[in-house]
Amino acid sequence: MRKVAIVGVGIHPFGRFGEKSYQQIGQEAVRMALKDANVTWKDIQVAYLSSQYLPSTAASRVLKPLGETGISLVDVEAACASGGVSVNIAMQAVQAEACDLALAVGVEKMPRGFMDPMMNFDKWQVQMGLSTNPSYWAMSARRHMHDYGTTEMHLAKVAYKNHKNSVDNPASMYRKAFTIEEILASPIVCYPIHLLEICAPNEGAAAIVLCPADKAHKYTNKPVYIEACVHVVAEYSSDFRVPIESMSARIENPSPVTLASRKAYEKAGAGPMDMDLIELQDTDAFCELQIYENLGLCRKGESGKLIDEGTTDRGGRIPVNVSGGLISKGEPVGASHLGQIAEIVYHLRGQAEARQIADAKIGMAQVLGARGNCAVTILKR
Amino acid sequence: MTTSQPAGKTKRVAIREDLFTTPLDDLSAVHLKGTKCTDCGEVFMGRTTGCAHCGSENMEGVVLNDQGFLYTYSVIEYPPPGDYKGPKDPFIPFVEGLVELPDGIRIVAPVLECDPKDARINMPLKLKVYDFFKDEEGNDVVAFCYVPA
Repeated sequence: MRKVAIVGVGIHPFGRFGEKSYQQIGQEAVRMALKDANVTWKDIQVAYLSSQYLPSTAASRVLKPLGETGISLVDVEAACASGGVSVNIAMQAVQAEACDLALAVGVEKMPRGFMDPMMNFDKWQVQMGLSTNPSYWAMSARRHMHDYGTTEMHLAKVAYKNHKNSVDNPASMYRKAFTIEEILASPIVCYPIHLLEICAPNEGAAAIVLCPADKAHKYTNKPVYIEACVHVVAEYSSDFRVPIESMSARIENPSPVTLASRKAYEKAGAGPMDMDLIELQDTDAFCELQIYENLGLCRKGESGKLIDEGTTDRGGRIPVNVSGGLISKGEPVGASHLGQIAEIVYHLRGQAEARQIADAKIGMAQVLGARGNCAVTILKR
Repeated sequence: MTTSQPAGKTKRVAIREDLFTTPLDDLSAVHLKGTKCTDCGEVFMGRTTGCAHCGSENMEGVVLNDQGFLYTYSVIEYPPPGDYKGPKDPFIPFVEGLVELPDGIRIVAPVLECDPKDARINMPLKLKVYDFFKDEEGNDVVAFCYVPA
């Protein structure tokens, strides 16, 4: 099986850009990646575009203006894991020798305000008032607090860390540090989750250029290799985030994060503690804690202890979300995982500027969303 | 939506098809319907033709137990997104619970007649089926919740 390299990355900052079209946003990220790889659009042999909220044929609408070359342009959606799927199938296209140069790009320009509840819920659930997304995260958090003694302070520490990290990330929507007191004083969205502990839907794009590893030298002297790229959808009664009508009281399957990461560790021949940095899904601060456990950074119930010990701080043993995480960057859904991958590539190349984790060799990106869609990518230099 | 025998002048319809036992005349005698996999024993709300756990198609209709307890919950402090049919003007915060039933299932449901401050994990609950709102044709739409037992 061919090894696959990333030879170019590009990122359009995440935020809100008024009248700027999703086509412009996407094209900027793509052009940046092409330039980074020292190629032109005509060299690309297949392209996959991930998005959740853009209209039909978004891939064509974003990419055809770059040059209508007749190649396959594919739209991909898998909720918050959409970017994982576009990378996964671009990688498979290279592995299958179907092409020698592929592009994966994530683009999103999300509608303002609440997500349309009919995207996630059935009519009866909306009518009965069961359509508040964060309430499901909050239910999970409350049970975790009951079972393991996790506290509001643990959540606040995650948000504190990620906001502080974002100050050094020019691609982040919010770049402001907050004190623990400010975080805990911010309005409750759904107990125990405060406003400053939750991510905002927004706009952005990120793109990567992939090729077989043995051809990478044609494009860059700093290739980064995809050691694993895995996408799963949650097993039965294993994911409690969005949305559910019921769970089993008899069966508890491992989280989709556990499922995807185990497969990724096996493919990469590396475990969670081998990672020099991790970019993961902090939809809300509790989500990050739960994912520490699901990724195997600590045992079930011990994520509070991990954040207390500072293990996941920028200066800690396993820096998590040095980009600022989704809490600071926001979540332009289709672009999110591509953005995480771009961040890790910068660190592995020594190009992460003020955020740089010294001598980073291997990093992991993880996203999780509706219906238990989860993707994990492990990269190595 | 499923229609029922009219009770007096009011026609009742269920908020979700195949979820309630019929008739809907006497709501205190209405229960939730479920489906059970005869191969692995997993239970689902309403009607399903296959088992999401083991993939079997050997399913049988069951009636879910009215009694349960609160496994965990959230307090809904703001009007939920979309066409919420509960009190909106003013909005009345309520408990959204994950209610565990002896049938081996945990159901997301409103927990009403309960001050959110009084909600506790493990508190005993019982099913309440009630006239929730009137639809465009003037029918009473029947919904369910749990209340402190």
